[in-house]
Amino acid sequence: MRMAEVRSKWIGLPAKLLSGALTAVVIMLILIFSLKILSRPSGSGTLSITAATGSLTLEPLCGESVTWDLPAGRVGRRSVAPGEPGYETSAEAVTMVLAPGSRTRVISSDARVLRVSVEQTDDLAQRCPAVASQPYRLILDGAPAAQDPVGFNYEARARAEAGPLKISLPVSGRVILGQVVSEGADWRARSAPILLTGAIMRRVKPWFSDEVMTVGETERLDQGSILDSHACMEPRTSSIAAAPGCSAAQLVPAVGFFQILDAGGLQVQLYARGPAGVQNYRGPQHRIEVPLSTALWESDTVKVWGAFFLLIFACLEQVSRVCKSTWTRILHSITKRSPDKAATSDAEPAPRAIVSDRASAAGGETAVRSSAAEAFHEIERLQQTNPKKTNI
Amino acid sequence: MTPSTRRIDRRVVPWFLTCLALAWTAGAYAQFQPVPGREYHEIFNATNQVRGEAIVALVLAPSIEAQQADTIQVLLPASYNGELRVEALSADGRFRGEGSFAGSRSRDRWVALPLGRAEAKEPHASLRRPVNTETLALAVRGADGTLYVARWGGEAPSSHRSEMLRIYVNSGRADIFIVPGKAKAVHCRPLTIPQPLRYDSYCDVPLADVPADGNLKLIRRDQFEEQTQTFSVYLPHE
Repeated sequence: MRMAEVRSKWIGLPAKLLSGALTAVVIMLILIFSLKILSRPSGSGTLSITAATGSLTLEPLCGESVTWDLPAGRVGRRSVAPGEPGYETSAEAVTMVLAPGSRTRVISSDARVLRVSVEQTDDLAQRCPAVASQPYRLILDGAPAAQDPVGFNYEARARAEAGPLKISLPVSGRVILGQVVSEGADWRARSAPILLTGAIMRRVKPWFSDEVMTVGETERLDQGSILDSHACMEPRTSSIAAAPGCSAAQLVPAVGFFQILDAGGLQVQLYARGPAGVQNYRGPQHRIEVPLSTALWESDTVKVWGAFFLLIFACLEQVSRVCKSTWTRILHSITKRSPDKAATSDAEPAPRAIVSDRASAAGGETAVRSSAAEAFHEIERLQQTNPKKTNI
Repeated sequence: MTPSTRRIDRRVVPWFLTCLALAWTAGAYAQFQPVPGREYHEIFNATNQVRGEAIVALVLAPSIEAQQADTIQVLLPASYNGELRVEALSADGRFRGEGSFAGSRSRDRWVALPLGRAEAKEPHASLRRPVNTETLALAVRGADGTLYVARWGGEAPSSHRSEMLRIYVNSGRADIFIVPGKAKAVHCRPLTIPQPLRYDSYCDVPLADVPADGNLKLIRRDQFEEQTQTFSVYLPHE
């Protein structure tokens, strides 16, 4: 008997330790998993980007295309080498159709001048499941222009008396605002079309709510920064800030528009799902996004239920004590009312509720205790052995 | 043969062997050695000096495998004697490897320069050289700043006239064309990285197209404005 007790004691200790360790591991795994999920971008989060910039680059995403109607201007075929004929042509009305696989750069450092360069990009074309053979088309005065394998240059220049160009054009896809200030190389000086000012606001639709709210502080963009609406699309060829690749087919395009400012430059309004990448001048890229946790913390419903459950857990011990003491008093009052009857009567079965699990598991000895009085005395005995857990 | 003659022979043999080994070592390895205190090292996220060069680097037939090697080669004039400054640079300016070598050229036109095991400085010691034939260039300059044609790896080029010379150009975000002699203009390819700081385009020119005098014309076309520069590539015809 003694040996069996000692053995069970020694077997019980590792079992307890193992179960404790297992519980800790499970809790840790759940925590890590929850944190990982909560740090992912929220589906309902939006970045509202407002910026004044000298340049804007647009790459339509898979399945998207953008059409721009542009004013009269000059068009150049980029594959035509200098000195060869056929580079430049003019048109009164120019329409550009931009599809996935194209990269378009818009520059405006003067209110009267708009420059657009279109080229082919292999990088995005490889990410899309299906890409048109020609990712850009030009329609000049209603007639399609001959395709060019390298791309097109376009320039609109308003006359001095006409004032600044008044154009608003939509964008949809991956948008990059600003560019780096290039080092000198004995070329003719021209102002670099950098990003001038900008701000990013995070907006989110909290869980169980249809309301959209602004969260966090407004992110200010320094002059000379570069903003990328799709930071995860940064090519792996980049030396250090190689972000994990993402599929362009599954990405949500950044949408918005731009117009030419009277003082020169482009005023841009964008709405992006993120994560957006911001590079300060010559600095590393950092990401801006609205994580799932923000949508969770900002939800009033989640807050109310969280507070409720917190309250319940905090009061759990008190509530259980109150229940126990109430139950004991009820039992006490029953036994006081008819102690003899309850003690001697074999015909009346004991109430089921007062037969504890421990007592029923004890075997033949407890099976005899069928009366309420005996059960009550058993409870009292148990409570005396552990007086801290009872109010009696 | 007398015993005394035999004794002299034995004494000469080790000297002869030592001289032979030294001669072989000098011939097999570079005649250029790292300058003490300015050995080659690699830096990540370093502050770069502001430069002003249209042609940033000239590399013969770069490949990813060769870029991982710890030896480079440079094509030098016959009488070259002095210092060489080696710079491995990424287009975005975040990686830079630099070091100086001193020595003189022997009979070989291609001179090997042992970079040694790249010593990365903290806090990016775990990062490796960002090998990429488009975004990682190699520039070897003489003491007067002349840019020489370089090559990644230690293997001697077989028939380099059939290979491509890659010219890395800082175009200032414009279209760049290279006209090698009387050959047709070559349209250079722009890089697709968001921050091309040191250079933004590269041009592949068949070495066979480079004229004997090595003179090339660089044409920059910014929308509808054109500018021209000329530069010379040293290609010995020995």
